[in-house]
Amino acid sequence: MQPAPSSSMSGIASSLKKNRKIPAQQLSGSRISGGLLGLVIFSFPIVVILAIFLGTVDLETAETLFALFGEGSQRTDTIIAFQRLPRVIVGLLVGVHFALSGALLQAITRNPLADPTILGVSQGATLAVMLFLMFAVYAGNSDGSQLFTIPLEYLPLAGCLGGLIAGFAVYLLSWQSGLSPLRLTLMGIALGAVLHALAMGLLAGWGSTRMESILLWMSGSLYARGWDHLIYLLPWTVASLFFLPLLRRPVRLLQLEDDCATSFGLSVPLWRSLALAVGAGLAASAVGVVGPVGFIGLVVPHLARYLSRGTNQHFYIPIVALLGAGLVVGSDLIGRLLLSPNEVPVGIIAALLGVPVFLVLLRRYG
Amino acid sequence: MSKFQALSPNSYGAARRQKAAPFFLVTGIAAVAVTVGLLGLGIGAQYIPVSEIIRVLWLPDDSVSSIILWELRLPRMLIALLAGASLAVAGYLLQSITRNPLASPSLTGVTSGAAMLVVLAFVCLPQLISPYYYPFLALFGGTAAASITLFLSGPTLSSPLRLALAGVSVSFLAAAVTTLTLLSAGPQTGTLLFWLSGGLQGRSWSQLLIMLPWVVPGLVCVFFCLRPLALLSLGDEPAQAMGVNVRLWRSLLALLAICLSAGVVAVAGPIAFVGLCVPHMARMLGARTTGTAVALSLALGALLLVSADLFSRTLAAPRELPIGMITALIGGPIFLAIIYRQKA
Amino acid sequence: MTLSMPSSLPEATVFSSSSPREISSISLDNVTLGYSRQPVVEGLSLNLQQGKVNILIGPNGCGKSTLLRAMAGLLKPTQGSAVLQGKELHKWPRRTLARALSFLPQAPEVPENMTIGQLVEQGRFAHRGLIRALTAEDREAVSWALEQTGLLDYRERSMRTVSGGERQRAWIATALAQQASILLLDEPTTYLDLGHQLEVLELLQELSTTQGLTIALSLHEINHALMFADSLTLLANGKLLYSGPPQELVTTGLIESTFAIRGQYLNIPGHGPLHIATSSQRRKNPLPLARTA
Repeated sequence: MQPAPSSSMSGIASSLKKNRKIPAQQLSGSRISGGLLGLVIFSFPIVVILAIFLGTVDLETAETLFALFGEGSQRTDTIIAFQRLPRVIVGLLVGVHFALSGALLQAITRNPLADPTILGVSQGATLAVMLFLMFAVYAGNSDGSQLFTIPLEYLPLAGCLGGLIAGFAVYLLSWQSGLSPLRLTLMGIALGAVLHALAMGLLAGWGSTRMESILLWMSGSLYARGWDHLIYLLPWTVASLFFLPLLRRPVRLLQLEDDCATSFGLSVPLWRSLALAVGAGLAASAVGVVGPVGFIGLVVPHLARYLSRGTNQHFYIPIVALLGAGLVVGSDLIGRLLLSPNEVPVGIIAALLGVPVFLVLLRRYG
Repeated sequence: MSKFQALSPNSYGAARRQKAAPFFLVTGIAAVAVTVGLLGLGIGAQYIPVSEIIRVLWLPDDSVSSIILWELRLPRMLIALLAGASLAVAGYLLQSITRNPLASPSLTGVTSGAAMLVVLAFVCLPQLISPYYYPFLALFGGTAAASITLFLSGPTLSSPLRLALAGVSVSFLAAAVTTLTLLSAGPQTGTLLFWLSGGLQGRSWSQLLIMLPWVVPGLVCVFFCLRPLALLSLGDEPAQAMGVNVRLWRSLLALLAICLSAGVVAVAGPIAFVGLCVPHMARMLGARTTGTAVALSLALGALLLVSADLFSRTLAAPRELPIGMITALIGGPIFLAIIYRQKA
Repeated sequence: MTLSMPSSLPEATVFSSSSPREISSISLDNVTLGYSRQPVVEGLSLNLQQGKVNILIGPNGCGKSTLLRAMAGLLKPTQGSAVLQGKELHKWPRRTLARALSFLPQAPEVPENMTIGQLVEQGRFAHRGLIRALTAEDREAVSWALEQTGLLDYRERSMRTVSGGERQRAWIATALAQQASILLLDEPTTYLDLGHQLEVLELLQELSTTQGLTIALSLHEINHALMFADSLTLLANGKLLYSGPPQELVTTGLIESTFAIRGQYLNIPGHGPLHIATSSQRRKNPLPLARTA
């Protein structure tokens, strides 16, 4: 070949060298989000500690400290060890689950409005819980002669299984020599709508005896969540700790077109399925334990995106997890104290706290 | 937001298959909707034979059937037809302008804003506000929430994603306030829960009159906005290049969608599913142009809601079942089947 | 910077010409390709010339992109076989294949929240896998790819804010960073100005001569194809009309008939024949003069 004309490329390279100035607004923007991020990281441990020390029952700080080491009075020990501590830990895990599952689902469906409801997970869990409660009532206690009894402790298991089955059904129905994000999304909303309608039908038709516990579960609450509930959460937390580092690169590639991701060496159907499985599992376990909490999964990934502006992209997922956990525990704390001794469901406080911040960020940086 | 699949009528691969002429499809479905509505006139707590219906519709008199027909069933049927059509068209509009398949009429915050104001008024000013004013409150709350959404998504609606996110957040906020109010309201929330679950029970001419000025101009205007709507679904830049003032038209179409859904939510309360799923059905049933897709959404929405209303008041008579549930139970499986049969 | 290989070139990119490399060429044997039963390409056989620049030309919708997708193993032939190193393409594990072959689709969607540097790093996935951190080798490959496309100073720019040409060059850099010995590109010069078009084509030519890369790309600009192709393939309606050296295509008159144009060849010393199209054969009724007045 002819000697390459060297002038064209070096000329271009040098012409590109003049750095464009970064607009001042952008700089101050990343400074503000950096400050907010610092605030979040700083206040997280404080929120967790406050959630242990404050509650409906007024305990002395010193007494609580003793109780944490098992040295308090019996009453304090019980409250701390069997009520507050497990509740805070369940809250942390649930927050992490919802937020991570939202981030995963938004990435793989390539839809920023995706959350655990778009796979039908929440609706499936709701239907399963409703069926479970009905059987626990009708099969268990009709005219005193018990056919069989299902202990109420298994309610989270029922919710979790229902959510997983629904997610799996959506997955199977959308599979068509690959998974198209649009098809997955549409199938999810269709099946979700049917399951939700069935659940509402059950509630309207036969739910009267258990109406209150069903409504309480449906509004999403951490009330009386204890160590038992961790069994349903921990396996998924551990699994996600194992899978998320593996999923990081594939999920990033999945944001590209399928053809690009494939030619970069990613087996797209396999990794999309795997990411979906992890997302659905995280969501289903969390919904099973605390009920459908809508806000966290949808908004926290976006909130984290604003807060992690200007930081390394590797911090995005940890920020999502931290924000989810902190928001749930903090909202639960406020929910416990606000109308004490009544409790306000955690999802409501989370929305009241998170939405204004989110809207301000949205308004500023679009 | 090039990442979203452009939600043009063709994006589902429908264009490849030859379909019956869309005109016949639309008129056919509309005709079925009206037929179901007319059949529904006869069915209810008191059965009215067809001959009687025709006679009384022609010449209203003081007979019981005439009163039932004119005061209860006819306005209710008209509300169902109009509400279904409006919700579906509003959903179509919002899905097009946000280019997001998950958009629905509640995306702008209309529904939860309406619910919030009704609940607040009921709990805080119970003696001042009679249920008669609920529609006005809902209308006000819905439009106010939607205006906040529009304000937050930037004066010019430059980004469809921002519109969607602002709408979702406003909805969450309003829903949180609603639930909080309900929780502190104590046991006397029966009437409210009835309104909040949505439905057409007891709706009559006065409610129809509240709805008409929002819904009819909305439905008519949509057909004058088809071309910008079609171009917007191609993406901002092509649309701009073809002479559409993207920001202006996106705001206008959003306003149109808000009018349509506010009118419905004021009268019928929140009804899910229609606005979310019917537009997709219309696209998949082979609507090739935006005009056909809008017309098909309109007809399908009307058909779905009018049949759901019929079932909701007859299946468990004399009780009424929540209409949102029936809509999803009828429409959901059909929707599932349609998606399942789509070729990639 | 010149296009001769810089001394800073990472070890891995220098495919030593002395050691015989594996046969890295794709051969299509009597393939039929299509989407949902409608064949786009029917009964086509083609061998990519190893270590050469193979250029596909043809009118819109003739099946160029489909053919390239099949060569990239993204589309399984409904009949016939597409083989690389004796193994059918769709049977290759994706990551192994991606180390042997890289493919750049036409005008890919722009990913959000990614800088150019981050995008180009994605090209290293096939080498890094799930866990391995970015090694010196990866970094050098990325820098080299950025340098070759003149994007070194653009690393931190967001993909959403750069110009169309920069975006396209970033995609090309991503494919280069993959360091495969076969490079498939679907209309890589779209969105580029004339200078950048030539620059990309010269880069590809350079890669094939100095490093023995097998390159296949589709182009619309016939003269670029004539100038840069070692082997030129002309497609129309999913059929192969010609495949061979560009100089011989000139004598067949196929360009005129396939593209429905009239024109002349012009011989430029050192460049071979170029084609000057003068008019279209298709237009029978030009605009009435009154309109334009």
